[in-house]
Amino acid sequence: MDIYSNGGPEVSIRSLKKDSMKFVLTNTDLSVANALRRVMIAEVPTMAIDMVEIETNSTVLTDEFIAHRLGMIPLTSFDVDRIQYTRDCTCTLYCPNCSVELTLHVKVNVDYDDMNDPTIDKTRQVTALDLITSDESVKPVSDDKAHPILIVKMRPGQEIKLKCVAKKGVAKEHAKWSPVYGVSFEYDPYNRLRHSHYWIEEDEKLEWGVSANAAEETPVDPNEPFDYNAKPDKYYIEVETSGCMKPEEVALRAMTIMQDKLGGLQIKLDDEFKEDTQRWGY
Amino acid sequence: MNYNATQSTAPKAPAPAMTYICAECGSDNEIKPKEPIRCKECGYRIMYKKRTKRMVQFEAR
Amino acid sequence: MSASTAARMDLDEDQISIDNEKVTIVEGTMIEPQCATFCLKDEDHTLGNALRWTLMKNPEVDFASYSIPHPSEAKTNVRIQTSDNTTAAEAMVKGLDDLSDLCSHVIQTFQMELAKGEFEYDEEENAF
Repeated sequence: MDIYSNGGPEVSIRSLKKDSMKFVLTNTDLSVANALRRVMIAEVPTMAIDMVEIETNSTVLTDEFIAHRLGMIPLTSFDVDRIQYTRDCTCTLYCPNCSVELTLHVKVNVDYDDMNDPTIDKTRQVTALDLITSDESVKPVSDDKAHPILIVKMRPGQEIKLKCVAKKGVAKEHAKWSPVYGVSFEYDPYNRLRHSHYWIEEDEKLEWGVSANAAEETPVDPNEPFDYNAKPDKYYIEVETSGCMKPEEVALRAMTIMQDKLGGLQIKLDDEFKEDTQRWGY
Repeated sequence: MNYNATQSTAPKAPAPAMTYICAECGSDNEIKPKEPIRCKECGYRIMYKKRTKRMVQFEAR
Repeated sequence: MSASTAARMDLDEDQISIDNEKVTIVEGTMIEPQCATFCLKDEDHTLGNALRWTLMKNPEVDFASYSIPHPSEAKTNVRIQTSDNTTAAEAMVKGLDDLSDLCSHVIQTFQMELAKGEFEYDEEENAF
């Protein structure tokens, strides 16, 4: 089969870090590379806070403001397969099979001795580290303990008490479920295929430098004729995760999700054509 | 319109007093319906409603 | 009830939960078995474009293309016309199979590459 021309797609990993990965995908069509990119961004499920029940909030931020901020906090999701989508769950609202509860309760007491001393910073920074999870495998991402994710700042006398319900979801529904902060995707750094049309003032070469990935390809000879049959076949991809799961995990899951989609279609196509083959006598 | 319909003969529940917070001095004020909105402490006429004691639910999006 | 029967019942339930309208044939597009427009519900460019490519790679396929008729409807139409040696439905099955095989291949090569470990690696303590 032609999709395996030259041995099929090849992957070459250039660097792998805790929350980012660079790799080169070769020997395949742009549509396949783009499918991988799109699935990584929008269809790999993760956990994120989706409901917030606020009991007390005397901070300067409104309830909905805080609820929105809580939703954006990345939660570790390497164990997300264990959790069901709430819509598929047998429970009525939510349950431990389809959700994880996180609670937040901070009350800043007034210290009357320090109250009138302006040299003492009395601001209490409420961060993602103050969230208490009911499930150790789903908790706020905290790579940098010195700079945790800030939720709200409080002054003495204020209190916040709430319960969050984290659910499984995909970024197709809301971007907070995306496992990645960004996916960079480049092909044809010399623009040999002329897919890019650069905006220029005077000189394209001067104003638009080539990317680092150009080192892997041969520069375009200005005298060579344009090959209108040429197709891209080398894709430079970099995945940066939110820290919710490993970058290689995101890529592998993305391909598995693609397969699941195809599998589902095959089953349904079979059903559809059981009757159809009879209709046409095949 | 039949105005009598609204005037039920059943005894009305006593109007509950609500506690509001004065926007000027911050003191609690119990104000019943139809009562003038005026702070008992300072006479200011702007009041804040207190936060509900009920739990409130939000979608985090 | 044996474990295998229970497992099969689970599977049956799963299949019921997949939308029955997932794949349909757009009315009036299948004039003969060699041509059809399939309507895929809840699919987009992610699957549409890659599937179009695998379909076009099939030498028996004369025409393959996809479109999303309206952006606010989560539907993708895939048009297939084939030679007399096959049918549009067969070509579709093959297209899905080929793309699925391709995905397996990418997963395998990815895992092999990970196992080889010939890349720059961050020495930082892992979060997991």
